[in-house]
Amino acid sequence: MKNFGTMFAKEIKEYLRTYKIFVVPGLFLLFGLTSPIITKLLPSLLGSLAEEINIILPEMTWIDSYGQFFKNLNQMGILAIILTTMGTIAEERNRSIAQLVLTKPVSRTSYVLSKYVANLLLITLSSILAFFAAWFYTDVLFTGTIFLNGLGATGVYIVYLAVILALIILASAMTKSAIAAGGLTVLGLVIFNLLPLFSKALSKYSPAVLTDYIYQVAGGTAVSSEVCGAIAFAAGTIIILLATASLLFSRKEL
Amino acid sequence: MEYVIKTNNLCRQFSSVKAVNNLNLNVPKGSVYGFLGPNGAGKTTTIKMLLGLTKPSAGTIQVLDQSAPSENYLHRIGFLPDVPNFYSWMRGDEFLTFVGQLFDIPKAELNRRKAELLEITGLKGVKTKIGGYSRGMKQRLGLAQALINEPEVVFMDEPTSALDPIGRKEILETISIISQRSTVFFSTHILTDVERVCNRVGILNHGELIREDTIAGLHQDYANNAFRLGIIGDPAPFIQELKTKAWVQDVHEEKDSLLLTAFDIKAVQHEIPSLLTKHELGLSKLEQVEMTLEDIFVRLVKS
Repeated sequence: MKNFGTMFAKEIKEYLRTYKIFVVPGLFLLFGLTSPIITKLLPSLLGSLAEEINIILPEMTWIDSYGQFFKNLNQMGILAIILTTMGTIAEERNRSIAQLVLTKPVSRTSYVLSKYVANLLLITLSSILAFFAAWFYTDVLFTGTIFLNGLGATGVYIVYLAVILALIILASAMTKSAIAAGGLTVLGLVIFNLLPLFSKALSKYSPAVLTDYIYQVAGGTAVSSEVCGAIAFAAGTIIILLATASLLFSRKEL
Repeated sequence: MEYVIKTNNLCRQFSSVKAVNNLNLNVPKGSVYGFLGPNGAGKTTTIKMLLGLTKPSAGTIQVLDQSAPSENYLHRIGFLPDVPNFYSWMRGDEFLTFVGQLFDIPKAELNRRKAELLEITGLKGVKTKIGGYSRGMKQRLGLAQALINEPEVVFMDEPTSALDPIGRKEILETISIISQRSTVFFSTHILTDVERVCNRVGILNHGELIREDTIAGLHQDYANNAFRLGIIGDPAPFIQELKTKAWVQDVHEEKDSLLLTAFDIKAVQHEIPSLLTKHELGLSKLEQVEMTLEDIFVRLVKS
């Protein structure tokens, strides 16, 4: 882990200078601000779009608002993270910057982990920031909002993102092309989503199931033992993905 | 003699291509070692193996008495790649600070070295981000970052090949300055650069080291025993016979003459006239040639 601190500090500085530190939290914040409003206005919006048809929708609640928020984060948020992170190692290899840095006393493990931890910090803060915005507007627009349910669901969401981030880092360490790394990440996500089909245990604990738990925790219907099991499984998956990334990157010729 | 870089039967194979083949390098401490070779000879692959960026297929490497590849000597070396790339969002002085921190150099000392290196490389006061640097400025920054840890050995991969004459001159002057305190291992195919700054050369061709010597040694072997002969008539049978003579080292046909290298100068003086008579050839000139490093290099590579 030689020079992890210096490499981590460089990553954070890079986020500041390249405005990534504003782009990712800004996008997440946008979802946090707009999701409750869209949920609140959805029935009247649908009504105004189809005046001839009488659409009857159940009254929207704070659970629907949380649901809309996490749905947006699960789609656009993850896409944004893949797009902003897929080149993190691949690009530096391609442009030979990695060559220059790794002929200094920096271990390849530090190099890989500093990128993971810095990105994880950014998406954790972005998710929390977005949640506070979503919770605030949900509380203003709906009655009976439970803060802790939303916070718990955000925690599960962050764990899910941590797995995806480890997958992106692995993909980026495997190739010299950012686009190829993005493609490999999508392939990994497809595999993750297929895993629950193979066994009962995987259908309860594999990382893809975390997305179901996010909604269950937000709605207060989750079984805590199952959620904890999935989180533990996710932690194991992250360790395996990062160890593989570090090992593969250590063997790469630069 | 103390060697700071030693390789023993170093090999690197890429599928069926042997990029480096049984390379035995010996780089003495304090030398400016020109690692010469045509494009594709295996110079960059060798440097990458010495730095641990590429793994050898076979053989051993020792850098500063440490077996390579290893992280143990990285804090004692500097490296300038052929086309240095940096974080484009940083300024030059920031990059030097970043690299200095990787070497764990105390802040005050780092500031002193940064100021000195920015002065030497002519980048003092440049506030532009590296993304806006010219090729020459990047090369100079590359040199500064390679020297920030006051390395015992500096590896440079074709440091001048992409530069204009002024940029080249500046880099070569800086190499002369740093050679006073570091060993410089410097790959290139520009022979005038080697003649200007190096005191020892290794010549690589098709992955094999075909000669390792001092510049003076090369000149001694090739400069005084080379002759240029202007032949009147068909020289082919004459060349054939010359090649059979024990005193002939090499015969090389040029446009209007022959370049003859001999082991025995007196034999040239005494036997050439009789051989010319035998083959009924005339002689328009016979001159002793002062061979340049380029001549020697071309001959070694072609032979």
